Amino acid sequence: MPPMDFLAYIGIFLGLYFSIFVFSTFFEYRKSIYKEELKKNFPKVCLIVPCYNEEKNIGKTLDALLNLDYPKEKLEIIVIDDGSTDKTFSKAKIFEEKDERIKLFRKENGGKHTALNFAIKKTNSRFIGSVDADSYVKKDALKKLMSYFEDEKTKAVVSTIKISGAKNVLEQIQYLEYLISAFLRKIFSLTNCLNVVPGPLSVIRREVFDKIGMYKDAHQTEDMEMAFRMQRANLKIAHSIDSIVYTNPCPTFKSLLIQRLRWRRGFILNLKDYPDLLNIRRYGNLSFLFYYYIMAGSVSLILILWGVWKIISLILNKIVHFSWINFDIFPLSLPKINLFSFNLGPLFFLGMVSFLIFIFYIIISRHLTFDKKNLRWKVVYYVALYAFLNATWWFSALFSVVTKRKAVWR
Amino acid sequence: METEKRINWKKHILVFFLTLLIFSSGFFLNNILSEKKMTQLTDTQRDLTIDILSLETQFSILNQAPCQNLNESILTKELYDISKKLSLIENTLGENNPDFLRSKKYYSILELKHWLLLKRAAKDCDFDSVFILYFYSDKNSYPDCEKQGYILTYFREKYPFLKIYSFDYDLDLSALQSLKEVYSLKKDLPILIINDEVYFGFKDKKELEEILSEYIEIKEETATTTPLTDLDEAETTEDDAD
Repeated sequence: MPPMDFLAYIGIFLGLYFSIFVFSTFFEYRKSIYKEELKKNFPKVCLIVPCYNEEKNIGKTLDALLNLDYPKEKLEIIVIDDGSTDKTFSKAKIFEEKDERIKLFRKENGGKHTALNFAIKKTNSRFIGSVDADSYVKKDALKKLMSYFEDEKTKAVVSTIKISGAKNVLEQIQYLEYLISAFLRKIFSLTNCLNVVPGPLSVIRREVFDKIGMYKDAHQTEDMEMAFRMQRANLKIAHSIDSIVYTNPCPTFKSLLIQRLRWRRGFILNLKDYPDLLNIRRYGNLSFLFYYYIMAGSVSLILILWGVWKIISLILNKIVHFSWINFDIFPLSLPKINLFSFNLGPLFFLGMVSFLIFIFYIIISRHLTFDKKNLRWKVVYYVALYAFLNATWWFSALFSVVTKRKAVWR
Repeated sequence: METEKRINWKKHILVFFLTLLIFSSGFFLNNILSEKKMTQLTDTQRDLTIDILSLETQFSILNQAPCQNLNESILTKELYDISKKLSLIENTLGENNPDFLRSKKYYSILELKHWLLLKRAAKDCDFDSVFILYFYSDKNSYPDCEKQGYILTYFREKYPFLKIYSFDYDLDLSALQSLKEVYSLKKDLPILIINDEVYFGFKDKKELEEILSEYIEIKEETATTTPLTDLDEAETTEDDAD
């Protein structure tokens, strides 16, 4: 068997194993996917909005927060302008003057973690949330999210992030990616292996900061590092799948690469900082998930690189062929494709099974997040491009780690 | 405060066996299709035998009065269909399979019969035609054969009136051996025999255009003046000349 075929079988086996684990967990816990929203005894919550040069988005973000269905006297919104050079501060000021729930502060630029820590010190709320300045929280999201804190063991709750206004191909791919992530995040929370408290909307009990400390720079992935530390301290993180927050997608290949490079680089370096999280006896499912990421990631990276090489050599081969006829290609008719003449083999069938599983992921994710969008083209773009994009991000992240380059935000 | 993080090994064992089951089903489905493929292949080989017999009979009938009844396009199309079936068998069984080699020999004989008939018809019925016999061998030992095959495919597409017949030089077939002797062929591949003239070695696009220029011009002139038979629409004999 050619080595790449063997590797492809391993890749498919790993993917199947992971998917069956995910679906079996889903059916095991299908009755506890949702939690009834909070109707009384609303605790006081402080939502922190750290922002840097967000003049275009801050208004919409604050509008959404002020529109939240949550008792006014129990909601505090702290906006931290982290040394913006645009009109972010003046735009936020208008909201502060309009609504007493909003408190606006300005500080020297120091990074997102410094802005969050600055705000934590300004509030005495028992529950502290973070909301990215380009994210728009759905009206009922906070009520639903806070209900998870009725369980005293729950120390942090994360929300479901959806893409707002996906237009171009890359944005539509991100839409589907976030949709599937919502389902996976629920499964990870049910198996206690959530490894990020994402910026768009997450709420953490104040006692967590007292116990394990404040946010750190953490290779510009402070939300991931906080989750890693919480997991190390055995602090439970839950996911409220029907608490929806919308975020802007990265519109260009470059902006998306910068974001994903930062996330993946952060994952590698944070794992390097906390290698004990790979102790499967101590951290169980989380370690298992990390091992899975490493194995499946490596296999798919090699396969994708090989696939790209095959495509390039096919194109080069075609160019050589065309050169034999001095590039007079118009008389040539299109090649006649006869499916039966391909030697498909078991890989083809396993590939079809993988595709069906992928469709199953989409159906469940849609159902769980009440998504009504037409996904047809999103699926086409995702299937055609995601593996290549993902390989590019991982490859860039590995390169950045090896060459010790610093990540940038945008 | 602390949460349960232990791995549920029972669940993982169950998941492992379930994965193994689905994984094996891929191989199982593949086996079913392979069996179906083999059945279809047997049918194709049977069809091929009938086609060959039918074509042979057509050649015999037409040999009696080629000018009156010659519907060359049907003949050529049938030969082309056989070549397609043959390439299907080659893809499935491999180029060294005895069944495939046997069919390939049949096909080569049919090509020769087609060539001889059309050659005679061209002479007796007075129509212009260009016949190219192309000898090749495996592309690893003779890399130029791959190039030559591609260029000939291009010519066949561009000038459909060219009748190109390709033969494996190493095929153990007495009829081919006779052809090699008649034209005094030596193994300097690729070899082209264009209207009885032998050319050894690779001929690039420009060289081939020069060789064929006389015929191409004649054909184009004829095409603009006399809308002859449906010769020009006919497919040539090889699906892929290499």
